[in-house]
Amino acid sequence: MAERRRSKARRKTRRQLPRWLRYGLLGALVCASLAVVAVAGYLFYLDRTITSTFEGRRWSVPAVIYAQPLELYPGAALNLADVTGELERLGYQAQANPASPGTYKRTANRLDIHLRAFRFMERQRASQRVSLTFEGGGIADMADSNGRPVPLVRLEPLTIGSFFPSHGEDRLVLQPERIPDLLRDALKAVEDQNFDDHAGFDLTGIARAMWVNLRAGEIRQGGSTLTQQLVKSYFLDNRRTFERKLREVAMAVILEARFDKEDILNAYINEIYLGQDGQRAVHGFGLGAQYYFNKPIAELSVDEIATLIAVIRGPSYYNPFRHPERALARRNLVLAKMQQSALIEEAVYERSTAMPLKVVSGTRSGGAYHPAFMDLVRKELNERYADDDLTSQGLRIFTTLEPNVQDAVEQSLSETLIRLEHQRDMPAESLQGAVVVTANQTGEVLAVAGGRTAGFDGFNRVLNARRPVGSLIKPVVHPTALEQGYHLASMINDAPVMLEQSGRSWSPRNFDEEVHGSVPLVRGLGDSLNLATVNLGLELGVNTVAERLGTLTGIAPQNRYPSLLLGAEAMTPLEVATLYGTFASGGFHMRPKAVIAVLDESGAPVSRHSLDVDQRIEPHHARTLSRALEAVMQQGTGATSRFARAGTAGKTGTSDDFRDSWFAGYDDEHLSVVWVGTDDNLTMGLTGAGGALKVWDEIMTHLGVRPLLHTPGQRLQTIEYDTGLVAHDGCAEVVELPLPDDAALRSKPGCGINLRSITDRLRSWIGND
Amino acid sequence: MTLAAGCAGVQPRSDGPDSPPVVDAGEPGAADTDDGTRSERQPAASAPARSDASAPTLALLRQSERSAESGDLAGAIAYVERAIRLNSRDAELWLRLARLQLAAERPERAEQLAQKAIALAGNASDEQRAGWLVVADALEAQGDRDAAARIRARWRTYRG
Repeated sequence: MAERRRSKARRKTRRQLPRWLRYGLLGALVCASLAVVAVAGYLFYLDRTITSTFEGRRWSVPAVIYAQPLELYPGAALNLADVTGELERLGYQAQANPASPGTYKRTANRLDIHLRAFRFMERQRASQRVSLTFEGGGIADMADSNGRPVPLVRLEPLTIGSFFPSHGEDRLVLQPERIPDLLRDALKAVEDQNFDDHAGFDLTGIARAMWVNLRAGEIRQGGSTLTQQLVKSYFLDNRRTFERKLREVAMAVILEARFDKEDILNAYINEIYLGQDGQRAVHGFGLGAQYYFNKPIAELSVDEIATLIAVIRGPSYYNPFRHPERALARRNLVLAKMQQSALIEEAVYERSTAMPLKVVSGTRSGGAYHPAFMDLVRKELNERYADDDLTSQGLRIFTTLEPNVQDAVEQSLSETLIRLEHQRDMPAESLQGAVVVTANQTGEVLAVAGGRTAGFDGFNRVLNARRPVGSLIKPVVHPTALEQGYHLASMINDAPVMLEQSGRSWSPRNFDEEVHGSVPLVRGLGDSLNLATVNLGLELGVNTVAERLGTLTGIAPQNRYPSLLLGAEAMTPLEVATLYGTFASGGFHMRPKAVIAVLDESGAPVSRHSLDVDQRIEPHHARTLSRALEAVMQQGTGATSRFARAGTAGKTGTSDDFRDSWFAGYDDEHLSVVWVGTDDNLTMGLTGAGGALKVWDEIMTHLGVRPLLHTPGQRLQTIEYDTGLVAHDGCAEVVELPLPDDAALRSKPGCGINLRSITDRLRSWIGND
Repeated sequence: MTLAAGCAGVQPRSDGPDSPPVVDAGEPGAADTDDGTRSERQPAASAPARSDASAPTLALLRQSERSAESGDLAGAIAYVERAIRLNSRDAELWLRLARLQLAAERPERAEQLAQKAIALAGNASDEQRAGWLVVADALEAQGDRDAAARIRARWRTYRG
């Protein structure tokens, strides 16, 4: 019964509305609710995206990266100028009475320093006073304020960069209190006059922009609010589509609804894109001030602030380096707006518009920005940590960079390349180069130059230029040879060979196109004789040598053909530094290391990268090899070096057709690997000695050579370099070598030398070489 | 036992109470405090004390010892590494680092660091012996008792 009544009622309704309309309405209702759900969902998504991005960036305290601090102690080879120079780099002020931290007083041979407090890797150091007395080019005495002797103290480390480990971008984040008021006000006046009142977008602003653009017949004003520009900067997308524009407006409105005006403006100042420095995007006014003017934002003048604001509208169109006239015109427009808005007085306006652009031409000088080293830091962090481990705030990263070594390297590389181009009538800027310097015993990377232009964040050749190493490869043969009973005076055969390699015959030749016959091992390496090396390598086995190269570098070689013996293998300068690091450290393999420790905001270690070594060559064989590399300098291909006889060791390398010029060399402290060549792999006519060695000479002139120390008590034998015969320096060109007691030696006729023992003489008779 | 000995191997120096104040290598003025009391806790089988190190090295080593005693091995390691940066050919410093890494239960690293100390010691037999004994401890900690025993047997008879 009830059933029938209901169906009756239904029929009644059906009669009231036509079928098509009923379905239509239902459909519309469904569509509308779906649309509402979709729009709500989209807005929810936009809200989540923009809010988390803003929060993430706003509260991000970037990681700060420090160089090694300068250690001061009595006996340190630092003169008054060295220490004063470092104090100036750290921003210490010279004062008559150094009463507050960050000041110092300088007299004839004395420095009174009021050290700042600093949280070092190990502990917090309170601010304190220390007096240094200098004598004879070094620190003679150190005392505290009570006159008590101080054994050791360090200056704060230089800050060499800061970046967000999560997205790798470099920022010099300005805390709100460090932002000049003029910058805030001028930004509003120029970019967004209604900023304080609008809700994220600005209809009057858009109307005004349209009017201006219409009248001018071109786009002069964007009409985007600062908030919209901020959103755009977060999601760097320059496609001008309607959808994108809507999204931008929606996000801007959300941001305005959720955050303070002041927070948004501060975020803008730290985020906005201001230009491109090679591969590095310059974001934010902190970095912008550094990039264009090489100074902190607090020191910018009115016209300089105006230039930075001018650039915002089109960092490449108004690039002050490339288009100075456009940039200048726009800067003056910005100054005019500042004056119209009563932010600056007429006189200031007049003075400022008369100023030139003052941007630091092209590359920044003197700044403590070392992008090539920073690359290495990033690479090391990426290898050691998952991304998540590095997202915590305010990490402090202590690195191995030594600023004085870095300066020496940058200067030596660029000056030497200019000189070489000049001497050889090569086009300017045609040569490129790369240098890495490590500490011999620890493998810590002290300096990196990724190219000839210091501070230029371009292609980092130390990490990424993989080039044939030529004769640099040769000493890889020797540890195996020494283990198999060879010694440095063993005679090896410098004679022609004909080999099959990938189906083709290969007959290497010596650099001087000559054949030298039987030569001592030390000369084969010293004169870099290809035939002697190939013969020795073939005797030991190409595979054995390839395996050894793998152990010494930690990287398996690409090819295992005989041409490996002459350096067909391509390596990066950093890989070469790993290889020669093993030689320079007495046989211990170390991965070149740039990061000492990563600490979190509270000072607790996230990790410490403590010293790690791994023996890959027996120490006495390594020492012997090092002696042979000394002979390279004294008698061989390194003999043209200024420091050939100053107690250094090294090896030159030249690839086919003179495309790559290499040198790896060390004294008792520093190992340097230098590459010189061209980016398009052209032949440039430079040997290892003619190019890379010259750069090394210059570096060592800056750093000063510390002669290699030898193990005391090692017995040395003097032999003739050319022949391997026992001789003395009155009758031959000689080298002193550690040889096994049972080495079979003969003496040079006419030198009047008796051999060491009867057994030696007997052996030499039998001639069991 | 080995590990304990490794830790204890970082023993204080026999510096008198008049050693210079340490600035920046420890709490100011705290360096010359309680060396005497601490030495009582040291087992006999620790590294030989030395008198040839420079003032900055001594200051850093003292601070390293203090960190180790308070259980901060990472800090102790950092101080020794700082000393190594100032004087990287000092075999004794590498040996200390080896002992600390052994105490920090990284015997493989310790073994290699001890090898490094031995290589730098050259012909100095006392240092060589000390180095090999750490190598033996490190091998034992890695489970290689036989090799450890062989090394100890070889150096037990040695008289410097």
